[in-house]
Amino acid sequence: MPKSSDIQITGSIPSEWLEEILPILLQRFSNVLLVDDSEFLCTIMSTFFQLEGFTTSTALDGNEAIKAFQKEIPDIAFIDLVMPNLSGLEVAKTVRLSDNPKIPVLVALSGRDDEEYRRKAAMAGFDHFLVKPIDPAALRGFLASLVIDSKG
Amino acid sequence: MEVLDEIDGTAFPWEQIVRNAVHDLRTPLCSISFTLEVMRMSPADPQAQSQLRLMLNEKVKEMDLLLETLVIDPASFASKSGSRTNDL
Repeated sequence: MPKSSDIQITGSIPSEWLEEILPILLQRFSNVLLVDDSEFLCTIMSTFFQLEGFTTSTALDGNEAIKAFQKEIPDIAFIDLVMPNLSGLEVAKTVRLSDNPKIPVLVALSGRDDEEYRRKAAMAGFDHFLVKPIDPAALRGFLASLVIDSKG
Repeated sequence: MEVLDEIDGTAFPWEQIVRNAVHDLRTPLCSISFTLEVMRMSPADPQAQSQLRLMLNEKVKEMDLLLETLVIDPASFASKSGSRTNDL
């Protein structure tokens, strides 16, 4: 298996994605929550994940995100940091403080890439930090890294 | 980047303008990438393809508006990035 840094998924989808990586992802992270105040981005990313085989739910602000977590804890959640009502940081803190036995992977989506934002996201409980905008190739590369890096 | 102009004695923030404009243009561009990818993944659904084409058109218009704003009023990009798009 290649290292995640070697993965450049652009254009046609490589066989490693379909045969090795995607099946493992679907086992580990079948339930995906997408949280972003852009309805377009939520819709199109949700459709993308569904076509890959994942089950998705969406939330358009922080309060909706908390309700979504209360309804069902996802395996992985992509959460925008800057949203109306309740920020992504507050959502992550709330999720991490809850005593639910299931611990989701939390991925911060940020329009800004700086050390302060990364530090705040990590302090709030995010496991990963992605800079927006992100395209399908970069998203597949990130998802592949979740599988490949955990294998060492 | 070299400072090219001044407004009221203050250096015109071209570097910030370019950085924010690139970010704001990349946002609909990535939406277009996702839409194209979804179209590629679901070619057999004509209704979905039609809907996705409309979504693409919307994002192309958004990029066009951003470019027009960049030409007419570049200073508006000096403020916080993302104020001109709804995908953040």
